[in-house]
Amino acid sequence: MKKILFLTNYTNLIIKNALKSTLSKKKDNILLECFEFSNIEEIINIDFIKINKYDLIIVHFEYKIEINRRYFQNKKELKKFMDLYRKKINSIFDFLNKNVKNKFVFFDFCEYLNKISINMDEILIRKLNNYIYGLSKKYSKLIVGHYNEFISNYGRFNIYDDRTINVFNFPFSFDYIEHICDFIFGFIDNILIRQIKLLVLDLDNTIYGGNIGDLGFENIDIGDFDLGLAFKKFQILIKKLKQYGIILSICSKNDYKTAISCFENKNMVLKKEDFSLIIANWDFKFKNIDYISKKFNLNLDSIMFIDDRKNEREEVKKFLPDVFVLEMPVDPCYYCLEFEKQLVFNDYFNNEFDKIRNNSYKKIFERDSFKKDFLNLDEYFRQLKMKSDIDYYNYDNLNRIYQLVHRTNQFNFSNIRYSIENIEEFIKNKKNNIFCFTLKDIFEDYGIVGIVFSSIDENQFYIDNFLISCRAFNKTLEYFIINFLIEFAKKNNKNKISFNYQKSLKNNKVKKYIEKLNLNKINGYYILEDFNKFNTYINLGSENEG
Amino acid sequence: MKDNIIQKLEIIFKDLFGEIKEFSIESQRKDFKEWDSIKHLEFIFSIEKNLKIKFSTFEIISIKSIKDIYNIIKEKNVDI
Repeated sequence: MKKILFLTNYTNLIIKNALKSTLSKKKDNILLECFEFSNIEEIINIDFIKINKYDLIIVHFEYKIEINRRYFQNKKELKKFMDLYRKKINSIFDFLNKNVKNKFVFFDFCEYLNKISINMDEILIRKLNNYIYGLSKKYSKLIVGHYNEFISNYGRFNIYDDRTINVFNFPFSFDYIEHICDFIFGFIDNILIRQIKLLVLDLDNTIYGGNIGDLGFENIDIGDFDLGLAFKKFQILIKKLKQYGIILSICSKNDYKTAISCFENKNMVLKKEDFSLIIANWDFKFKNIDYISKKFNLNLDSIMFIDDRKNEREEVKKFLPDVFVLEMPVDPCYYCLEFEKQLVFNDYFNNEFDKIRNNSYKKIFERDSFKKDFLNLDEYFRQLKMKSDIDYYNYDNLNRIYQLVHRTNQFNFSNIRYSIENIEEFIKNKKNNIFCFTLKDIFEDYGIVGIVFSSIDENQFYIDNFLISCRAFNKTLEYFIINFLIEFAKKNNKNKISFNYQKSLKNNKVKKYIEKLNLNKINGYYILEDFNKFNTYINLGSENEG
Repeated sequence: MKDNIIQKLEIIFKDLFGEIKEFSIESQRKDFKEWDSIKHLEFIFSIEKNLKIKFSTFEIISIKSIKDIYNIIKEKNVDI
């Protein structure tokens, strides 16, 4: 059982209750005790034996309450007060540093600019803050909480409620209590619960824009403009964390070679050497993360997972609930902001992390696959409740078909890049069909992710091209589609399906699929004769049911 | 029949204080030892949030009973 002491100069019961409810959701047993003081020097009156039993002490003295009610005749008087205040802080730090078991957090002051006293208190508060930052070097157990920055992020006019300060000695407006609690909880989380030591990053659309398998490393979005700039800034932020001693690793659903080709793009701020481990395969990310944690001998709760895709995040959250999963905004321009909001990074990292650790992992491991049944995947797939609808070609989805035909490389049977005119021409022939497959699960609606160009006549059922977007890999969609094609063939009295397959540099996935389906190569075509159904976790979408 | 304001206040009140005592428009602050200043603050916040109104400082300190709250809300002429 860990114990926290929270000291304030304001009424803290509401904050206490909110914090308690947050803490009760965490697996660790944490006891929170709160005290209120009217003067900062009263802290010294706490019995030091008592103080010693707490694992963390958080001191939050609100400037607005401390100084606002005082009137200073002149600058000299104010300065005198501030000097005294400084001394008080110093003696409190002395006391706490000597007596606390672990760490204590002291929030800096809101540098609140009062138009009337612009030359006086605001500057003096800034001086006071600088003084406190300076002390953090002197006192090893002190962590300065950047409360001033927190206030400037949300705005002083929003956070404070002058009515409640005067009546209840409670400074915060109701709408921001949650944010205050998150801010305070950030310290508890970082100091007592978890210490993020390793980041696991996705590649596509997380550290650069676009899908590298389809675009190639020259065309990914990273650089000094638009979205490219957003990704660049995010990379800079991650690079800084590395300098703080945080280990970086990659977990990408891709072929290893394709994945690491991104580092050939000269605009990348992060280099291959920055990563201690790069994993690129088609396995589940939670399996890979579990592997990473074992490889580095780190607990799962010291790992942070960053991925732009919601379903990947949900998967990791579900199977590895201890991993810190960063909630990513849809817009890459907000990546950095969101990152800062969700984690309290402070000077603490500088002291705590062993910078050498990162270097000792310099060797880059490559990993193909590891098979391990540590969780019931079958059950998981069922819970996803995946559904697919079959759509025929129509004018509305023409653009999407064109897009997929041109962007998909990895699961693309024949690599025929039909133009819009080609597609329209193709469909004019009554024998031809373009089947579009959508995919949806409880987390996400992927839209159209699979397309089959087929042709049927008296002699044969022929698949001119068959492609699946990489977003839908590992979801058994390819088997759902083949089952559909088998049904379609049967209805039309065909006993085999002929595929047009052309090997390319990138479509290795198709080759594996062909092996799995056991297709025979006859006269240049790949033939499916065995009409047994394949296992899939995808059901036909509701609209088509019955 | 109870009007909308009273109905809403009853829900908020019971949510905060539980079913400890009979709630009525005549309920007085001094009759509830649970209705201390913190609970008062929470009550005020909760009413403001639920009814989308804002009390002035004067109103906050002058509230002595449910009736006071009722009258203040009534005066504000909000749609509830």
